[in-house]
Order: sequence, then structure tokens, then C-alpha cells
Amino acid sequence: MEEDTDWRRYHFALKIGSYRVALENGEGTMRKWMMTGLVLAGLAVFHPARARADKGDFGGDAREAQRHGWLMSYQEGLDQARKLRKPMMLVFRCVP
Amino acid sequence: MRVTRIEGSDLNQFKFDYDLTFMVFFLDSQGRIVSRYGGRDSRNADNRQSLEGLAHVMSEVARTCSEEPDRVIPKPTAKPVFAEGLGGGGRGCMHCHQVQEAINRNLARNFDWDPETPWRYPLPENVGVRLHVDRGSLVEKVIPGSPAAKAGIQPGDKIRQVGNIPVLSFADMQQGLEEAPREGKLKIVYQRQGLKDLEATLELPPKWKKTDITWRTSLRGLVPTVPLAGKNLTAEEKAKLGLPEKALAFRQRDSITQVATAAGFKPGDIILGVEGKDLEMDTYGFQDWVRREFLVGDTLKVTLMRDGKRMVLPVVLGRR
Repeated sequence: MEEDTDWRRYHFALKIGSYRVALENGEGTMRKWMMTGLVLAGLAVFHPARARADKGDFGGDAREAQRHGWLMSYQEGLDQARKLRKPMMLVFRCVP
Repeated sequence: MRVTRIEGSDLNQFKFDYDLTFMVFFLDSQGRIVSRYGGRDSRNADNRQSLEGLAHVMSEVARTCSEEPDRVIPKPTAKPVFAEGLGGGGRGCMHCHQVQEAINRNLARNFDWDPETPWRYPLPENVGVRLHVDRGSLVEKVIPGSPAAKAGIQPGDKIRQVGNIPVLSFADMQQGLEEAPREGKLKIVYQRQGLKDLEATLELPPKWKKTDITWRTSLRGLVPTVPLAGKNLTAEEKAKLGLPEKALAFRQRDSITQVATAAGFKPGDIILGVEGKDLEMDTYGFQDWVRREFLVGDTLKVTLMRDGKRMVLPVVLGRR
């Protein structure tokens, strides 16, 4: 299994909540700055629990994952996407 | 939304390179795929991805959903295929690469396996395009003489579609290439300077899909062991034998494998390479090259020098 890298940590910041906010605000350059800001905010707020979470280590606890902003149900994600009329980001992440 | 167990996912819908450990799907509000993000090459798991690249594709997805809502992959009409139905996996949990291993086993059982089967998810470079890591489907470089060059693709173009797959990212282009024929014609749509879509045809030569499989967990059983190894000849030794300075030439060491002995090799043989190939590399480069270019079961026709005479000995490559 490949080693964890900084990339693996950074993708944690791109949870669905951040994505939705980014979509709802601004156009073009503004949206880019908003998204960059959100991502950087996610990087700046670094917590050991988040490092574990980022490695997929929620201890098998879906509620823990959800507390970090992830939806764990495809149907729930689809329902939210329909309700908000926004796209959904679905991450397949193989946890060692 | 995060998926850490692939069981329960419809593999007809969520098709991707299952040897990867990270893949993102962007779906519209109807559950149709707008784009994918992820992918790698043999050198490094991360060098085809970046935070900026992901943010760029996210932005493109948002724009596409708003301005081109029908530019999606239709939902599959075939009956769902679930990973747990393929067999494999342990402790009730299936990793993505185990999906590919199960698919490979089923192909072999049904006699659908051939030497080109391992060449999955070709890189865009296989058709002559290098995409910008941070800019989705933007062409950074076109390899001269490649199918893309002959079709008129230029650096700065934006790939929009490959075959039937709409493209916003490296992963989308790989999906299009994965579904392309092994030889023949492939439609490619691109945009130049933000103007209207242009269409071209890639002429795909035989074996264009060939890729380096050495990184693939699902195919580790196919990566061969190289049965020959030793110390490189010095520049002086090569000169005495009339060999070019950069040419491959190493002396087989005293501890020789059973496979090499059975094939007729002896300690002290000077290995020069493979019949028909001028290899400019050292002994370590030769090991890597064989692992990348050949599969278990292939026959390597090795050229060597023994007692001043050149000869060729075939050796069948075995497992690691």
C-alpha cells in the first residue's frame, strides 16, 4: 500500500460542505479565491484528530466521519444534491 | 461523500482504475457522472495530482453543471455489478485492487485473458499528450510524431472529449483511453483558445495501450524476476571488447539463479542485452527495463559474450 503523503492530508479539506459553500458564492475569479481560501483554511486548522481522520482512521465509526463533515451514504448525498441542485463529490478512498 | 469500502458500489457506474487508492467522482443532482479526478503513473502515486488541480476541476464541474448540464455520462442501463459478487476480499472488506484481481481471475477463467489485457488505463502520453497537472484537460505538451500530433493537437488546447467520454481531467481522459479500441480510430474533441469545439481522429497503432504495470498491486504476479545480475564492465573493459561506452554490459556474478543455469548461462558471461535491441543502460537499468517491458512467461532472448564469442540464449521469465 502506497505511503501517506501531504496530498492525502490536504484532500481532507475538500469535504462536501466546503464544496457547497464554494459553489454558492461568487463567479469566476471570486469563486477561485473563495475555494483557495477554503482549502487554505482547511490546511491552517490542523489537528491531530484531523490527521487521523485524513488517513481514513475514523475507527470504523461513520458518526466520527460525519462529524468531520463527510456524508457516508450515497443516497443521502444524492438527496442533498437534488435538494440543493448542486453537484456531489464522491471520494473513493482505500483505507489500509 | 466518502466511500472507504467498495462493496455496494455499482461497478458499471463507478468505473475507474481499481489499482488506485484514491478516486473522486463528481456527480450531478441526478447521479450522473460529470467528471473524475485522480490517477497516477508508475513513477509516483501523486505526481499526476495536485491541490490546485483538484480545485480547478471542481471549478470546471461547477461551470459544466451550470452551463452544459447535459455534458455528462449517462447512467448505465445494464444490471448493476457489485464488487462482492466478483469474489475475493477478506475479513468481509474488499480493497479496490482486490476488485481488479477478481476481475483478472474471472477473465482468466473465461479464457478472456491475453498479453494485452494488463495494459489498462493508458496514460495520455500513450497517444502523445501530456496534460498540465494543475489545469485539468489543458494540453501541456504534444509528443512529435504521435497520434495526437498527427491529428493536429497543440499545446494550449483543451481536451473536451475522448471517444464517448466528456473530459475535464486527467482521470477523464484515462477513462476515454481505457474504453478505446486496441487499434484503429478514436474520436477526440478539443478546444483551441476558448473557441468552438474542434473534432479530430487519432490513428491508434497496434499495442498503443502498452503501459508500465510494475506499480499495479493487482498485477504484481505478472511482473517478472530478472534471472541475471552482476557488475557493470568498466569503460576500459568495454573498449577492449569493442563495445560502445554507454552500451549495456555486465558480468554475470558467481551466484547464478537456477533459472539462468537451466537456460545455459554461466558465471562470468558478459550480458550485452536483448536480441535486436541496443540498450544504453547499466545493470540496474536493465533490471527495471525488463520488468517494465515484459511479463511473467515471456521469453527473453539474451545476447551475451563468452570466451570472446557472441551468442544468444533464450530464458523464460518467472515470477518474483
